[in-house]
Amino acid sequence: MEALFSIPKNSVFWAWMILLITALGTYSWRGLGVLLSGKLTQESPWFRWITCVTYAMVASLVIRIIVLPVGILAQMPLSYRLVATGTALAIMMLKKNSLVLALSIGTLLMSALAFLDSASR
Amino acid sequence: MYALPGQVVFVEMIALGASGFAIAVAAILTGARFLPMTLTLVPQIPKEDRSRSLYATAHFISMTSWAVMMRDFGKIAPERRNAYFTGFGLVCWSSGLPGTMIGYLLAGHVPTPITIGLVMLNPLFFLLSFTEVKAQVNRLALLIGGISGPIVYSVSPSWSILICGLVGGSAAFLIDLSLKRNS
Repeated sequence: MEALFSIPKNSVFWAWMILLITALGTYSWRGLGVLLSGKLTQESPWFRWITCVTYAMVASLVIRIIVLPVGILAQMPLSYRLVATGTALAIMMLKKNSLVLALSIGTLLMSALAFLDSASR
Repeated sequence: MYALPGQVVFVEMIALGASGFAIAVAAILTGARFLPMTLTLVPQIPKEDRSRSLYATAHFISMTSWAVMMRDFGKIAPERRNAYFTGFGLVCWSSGLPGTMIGYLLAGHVPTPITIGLVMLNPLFFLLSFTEVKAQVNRLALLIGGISGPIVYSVSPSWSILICGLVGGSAAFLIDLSLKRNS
């Protein structure tokens, strides 16, 4: 079974097939959502419950990416990521409708900290 | 495949030399969040505006479009929501496709600190958009999910999103329900 599905190192065709299967599988969650939402209305308690589940799900993913990232962000100390996040949040809270400003400053601050970090090594 | 975490899993597992079957299962599982996300968006569109075309436009559902729709649907007349969602999704796709190509060509030529800032842009955007969530019960769900996220992840990386969502979200829903009964 395992050997049947393993990508031979030189087989470009199989790699594309696996990508196609993954893409179809990823879409199927959205399609299933449309199918199941057929009878659901905004007033239903089911809808309110699923909204809670979705918010908790998305929040857990976002905070996890900031606190325990994988890849290039993990090269930076936690304190840098928290400073950039905290600054952006503070701007957002203090000034109304400042999403773009808060996002730009948070991102630039992260780049600046990363730059200082690489310069000090 | 229009989903960043799934793409990351896909590429990382290829680099590790995992079997194609394992890659497909792992990457598809990371897309499970699209099910509840679709279930929270579609009911906000009036029934008479829902048709089979939703199976096509459902492709536009992503973290970004979901966060923006959850913020804006409340301010938009229900009969205009489907058009707003479709238009937003089209803009995302038509800027995302050339953006991906440019990113592919530029990769390796961008200084690392800039890349780190841009990688941070993604979670920051979602975190900031959460501050605009109004309903108390949803704020509670965000709080419980956010706190439990990293904790559960250190125990079970692959199931953490599902566990935090189902357990944390249900907890927020029940706490809010009991608070309302008592008041």
